[in-house]
Amino acid sequence: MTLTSREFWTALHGMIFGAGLLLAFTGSAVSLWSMRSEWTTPAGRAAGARCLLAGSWTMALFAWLAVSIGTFVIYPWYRAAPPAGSTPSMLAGYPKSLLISKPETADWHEFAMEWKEHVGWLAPILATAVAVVATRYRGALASEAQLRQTMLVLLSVAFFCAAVAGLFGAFLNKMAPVR
Amino acid sequence: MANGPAWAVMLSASIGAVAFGSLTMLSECSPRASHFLLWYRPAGSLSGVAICAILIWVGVWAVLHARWKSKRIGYQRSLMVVILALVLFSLLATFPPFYELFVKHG
Repeated sequence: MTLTSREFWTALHGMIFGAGLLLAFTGSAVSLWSMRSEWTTPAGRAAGARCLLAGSWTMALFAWLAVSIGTFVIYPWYRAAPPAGSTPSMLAGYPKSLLISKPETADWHEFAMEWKEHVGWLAPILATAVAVVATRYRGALASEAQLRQTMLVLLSVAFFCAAVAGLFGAFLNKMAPVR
Repeated sequence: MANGPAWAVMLSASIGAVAFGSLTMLSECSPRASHFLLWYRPAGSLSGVAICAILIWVGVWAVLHARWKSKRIGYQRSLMVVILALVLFSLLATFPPFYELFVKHG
């Protein structure tokens, strides 16, 4: 039961940081949604603020780790050029070249990978903004409806971006694994 | 309570997202821009796009924070709409079928 170094980094990127980010969204979104002055007591607001802080910072931290490892560690392995004169049977270690070598798999690179590598970067920026606002305002957010609504939109877009990146990442790793 | 710092964070993040989307389009449509954004060769132009967008986001955040740090923003609904529009544009700009329209016709 072993993982190669590349498989380890890929699992860390997607299964630990990517999946952790997606899981942390639920707690953050529910805390934000329910933090309203008419629904909560001061103790409830404080508890909701703590949950929001934990969830939003987990999302932000995991998003930064996932995109940094994805871009600067795994992506160079994915897009590495094979030696000149390589035949299709020699492309197993070169996922991008393997995908674009056949018309029936080329869109996995041209659409799925191209979208994933870019859209994923929006998640850490947006999640960090939400985490910073949550840290500064804490329970006072209960009386700031428009701030809360905007935070919920940014958090949801961050989740969507991470979900697209995660979904296509899982499919790509089946079509042309980084090994 | 001053809400300016919160709106500064969220507006700057949406501008950072737009910067990322716009630079993505630029690097996909222009070989010269793509070459300029090649800051870490193994990762291609994505490295320059990401680092530039982060720098723009942090720079805009610093400027907006300095201007709004003790203000109570009254036009929150308008800011919400602007932020939403910027974020939607950034999503569109990273969508391959969208930026490929400009590759073909550019």
